[in-house]
Amino acid sequence: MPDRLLTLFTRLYLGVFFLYLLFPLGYMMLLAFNNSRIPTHRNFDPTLRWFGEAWSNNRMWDGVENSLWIAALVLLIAIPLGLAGAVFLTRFKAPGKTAVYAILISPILAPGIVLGISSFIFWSQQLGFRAGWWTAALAQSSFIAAYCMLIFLARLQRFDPALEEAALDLGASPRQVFLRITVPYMRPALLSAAALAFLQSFENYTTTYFSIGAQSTFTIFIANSVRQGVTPAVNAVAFVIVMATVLVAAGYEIARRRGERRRERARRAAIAAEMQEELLGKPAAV
Amino acid sequence: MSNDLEFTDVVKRFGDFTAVRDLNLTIREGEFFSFLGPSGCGKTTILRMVSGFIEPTDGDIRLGGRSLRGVGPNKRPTALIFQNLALFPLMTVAENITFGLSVRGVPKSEQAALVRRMLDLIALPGLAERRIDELSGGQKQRIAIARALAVEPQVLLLDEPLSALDLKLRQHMRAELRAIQRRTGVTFIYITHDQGEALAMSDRVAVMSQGRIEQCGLSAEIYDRPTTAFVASFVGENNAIRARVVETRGGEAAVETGFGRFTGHNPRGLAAGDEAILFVRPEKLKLAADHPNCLTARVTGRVFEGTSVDLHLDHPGGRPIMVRLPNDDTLIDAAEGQALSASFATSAATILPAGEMARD
Amino acid sequence: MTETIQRFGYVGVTLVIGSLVAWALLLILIPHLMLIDYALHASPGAISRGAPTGWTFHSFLPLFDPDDNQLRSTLARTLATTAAITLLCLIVCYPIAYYLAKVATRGWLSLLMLALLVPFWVNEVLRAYAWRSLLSRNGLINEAAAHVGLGPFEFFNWQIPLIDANIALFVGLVYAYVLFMVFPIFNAIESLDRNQIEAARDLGASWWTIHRRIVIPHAKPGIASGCIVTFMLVAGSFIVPVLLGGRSSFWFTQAIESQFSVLNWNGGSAYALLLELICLVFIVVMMRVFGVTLRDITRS
Repeated sequence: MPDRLLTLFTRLYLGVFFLYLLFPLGYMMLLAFNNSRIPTHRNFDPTLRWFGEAWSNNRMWDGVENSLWIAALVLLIAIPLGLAGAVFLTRFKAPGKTAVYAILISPILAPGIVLGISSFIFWSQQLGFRAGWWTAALAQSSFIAAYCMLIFLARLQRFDPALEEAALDLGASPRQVFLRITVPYMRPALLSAAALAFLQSFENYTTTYFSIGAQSTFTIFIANSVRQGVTPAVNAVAFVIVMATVLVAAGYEIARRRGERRRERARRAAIAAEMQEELLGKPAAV
Repeated sequence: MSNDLEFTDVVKRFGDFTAVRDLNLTIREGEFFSFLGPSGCGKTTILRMVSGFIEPTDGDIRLGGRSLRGVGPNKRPTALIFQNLALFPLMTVAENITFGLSVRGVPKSEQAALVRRMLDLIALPGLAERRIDELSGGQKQRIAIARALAVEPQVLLLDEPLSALDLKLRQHMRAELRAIQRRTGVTFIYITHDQGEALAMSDRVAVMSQGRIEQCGLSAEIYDRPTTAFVASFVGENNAIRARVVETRGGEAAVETGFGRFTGHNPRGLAAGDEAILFVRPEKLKLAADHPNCLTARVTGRVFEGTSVDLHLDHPGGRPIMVRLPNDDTLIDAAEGQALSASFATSAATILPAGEMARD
Repeated sequence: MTETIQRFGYVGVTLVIGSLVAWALLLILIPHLMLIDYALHASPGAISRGAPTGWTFHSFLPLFDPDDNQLRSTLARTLATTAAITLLCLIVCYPIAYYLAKVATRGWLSLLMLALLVPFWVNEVLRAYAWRSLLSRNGLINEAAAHVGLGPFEFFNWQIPLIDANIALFVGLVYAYVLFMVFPIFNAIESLDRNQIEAARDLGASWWTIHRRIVIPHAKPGIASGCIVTFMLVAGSFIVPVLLGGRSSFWFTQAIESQFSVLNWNGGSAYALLLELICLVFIVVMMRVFGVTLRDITRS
């Protein structure tokens, strides 16, 4: 196939694909502004009333509150667990690492419904606790901790063990090594793991639905609203979520580019110093 | 006694593999001591045992009379300069240097004074606030040293620190390290596979092979008076001629070789009939027939090295005999194919048992 | 182990090992064992009607009921549709992954990645809802079709032959998990040295040959990973079939829910276990066929 035709076809394909991805969302957001009891684009009459209605919906805010509690608990559980797993797999001298890895990773590969049900059955049916936001948090933690662990693993595997050894050699206690060398190095990974954990927890539906019993979360509220027949208030909420997501994504991208620019500057400075060294045949003085 | 480092019958085994054996050695306080050997000879293992990251399987390591066994790396009065330096990338130069002090709770004011002193010692004043990833190789080198010296160790351990630098810088740093060691009086233990480095910088050198010390002594001793064939062949260039001992007298012996009969030092007390190798350095071979030991052979090659001219002489059954002639007005040029006679003094030849050579 | 203790201290080692044990036991292993336990027991209601107490396959019985085909056809529909969707996803997403990994320039790449990621940070419920609006009788698609004289289409009842799922559900499910197919393949292709492709082109290979003989073999772990994850997510998807399945496309996860809604925990566990076993079999088969290990899969 001639190159130019291939390029055209590729561009077309990409266009259709991303249209397919983004158009439904755009359509859904548009419907938030139409003054019609049923969400539709017909007879478009712009209004903001649905935003007001969504804002004043107490059941939604109850759901949001539960979602936030769950997310907080998940963060509290998943991040230390993920970190422990990553430290164990990369730094400890112990047998059975493959088995440990397989077990801890398994929740990622299990269907969400299975995780939710097994958590519910264990904590609620077997142990007798009333299912609620914290059983949901425990169910979510099993796989969110695994995702966090993967992030930490990737970062730790690139960590030079000599850095920790150097700190020890200079007199630091194991606790000091961890707090002053390892944790600062892990900071970017900690931040992305926290962000990922929060997002995955907040927007999770299936696992949460099956493990939370009668309580509601934000996503459960939305699902219920949709199932029961809706006003465009749901679309208003959707609009806010999508916009928030886009803003966060944009912010992340900007921060990332800024970090890259700084690293580039440092690299250039180092190269300049190296060249000076080669010319003088002795270490650069400044 | 003071703060000497003593190794007593130290052995280190990893499963079936013995990395270090029969290590008995005393490194004196304030000495610049080097372990020299090819990779895998055990020198890194020794370093890690002294710094505390590995424990000996057997034997004891004592510093100033006190045993170091069971003492963690963070509690030993030793500091290690890693091969890749291991400077903390997210900290500034000052933070790196004062790290050892800050984990001990030394007040900030003292830390600042120390940073200034250290930067002066390594001749890099004003770099305190610079970030590590903006520095050149030579600068990082010195900061690693400053960081280690800041905790005032009794022993400084250096793991091939100059291997990543290029030639001119390396030579400059050799002198620097020596000067710093003299100025601070700290015991330096240096490991390297570069013999020029070891010989130039050290008070004493221990040549190692396969976990054992082959010979330990002053640089000149190691070079001029090797006691094993490994040392003779590993350190510097050396001509090796297969020989058989025919007669011994005191510390000397006479041997029969393919080139004729020669006499040389017999430090290992070989007896008549023993298989041996006669070693003589290329620069000790003279083209004049001044000495009783004389060999004649055909020139097979000529290499111009700048400060010297190396002539290769045909050696049936062995590597070509190399004669190193200084590139001055005494230089006699020789062409390929020409027959030449080269002679050497008895004191310049060493006769050692066969079977102990370094792997080529 | 002693070196580890020296490096981390007794406190550190206890903390790490302790939390891992707690994680494995309390969050993963024991709940799972409970699930299996419940699945292999009959429900209290069934026991009171004469079902055996203790270990039994009673809760699995509805699957084998000769008189009632519903559960079996639900399962068949779920699996067939999932397989079809996985395949379609693969075909659709492979070019995207390739383009992002090898063709897109730096500026475009970050933009396109963002365009890919943003929809997936939006809730799956909302995404399914978006398609429901779009495909409904008053939705935009039908209106556009009406303009050209077609339709109105009942997407929620228009069954695709052979797999027996309606179009809306099909489209919605493909949409829901695109990212999980793109990303692993993208990661795998990205590690391919561009020079290999250029060398092949230089030697005269057509683009089809290049993909078949160079890119795809290299991307195998990514492809396997993407297929596995997509399969599992689609088969285990719950809210998307609820919202888009209409009356005609009941999904197996919905069967699980209906057991729970009548408080038959044992029945629900049994079906959930079955779903999980099917996914496990699929994973193992894929790993064998593609020759990948667990680590390869989770790298993405």
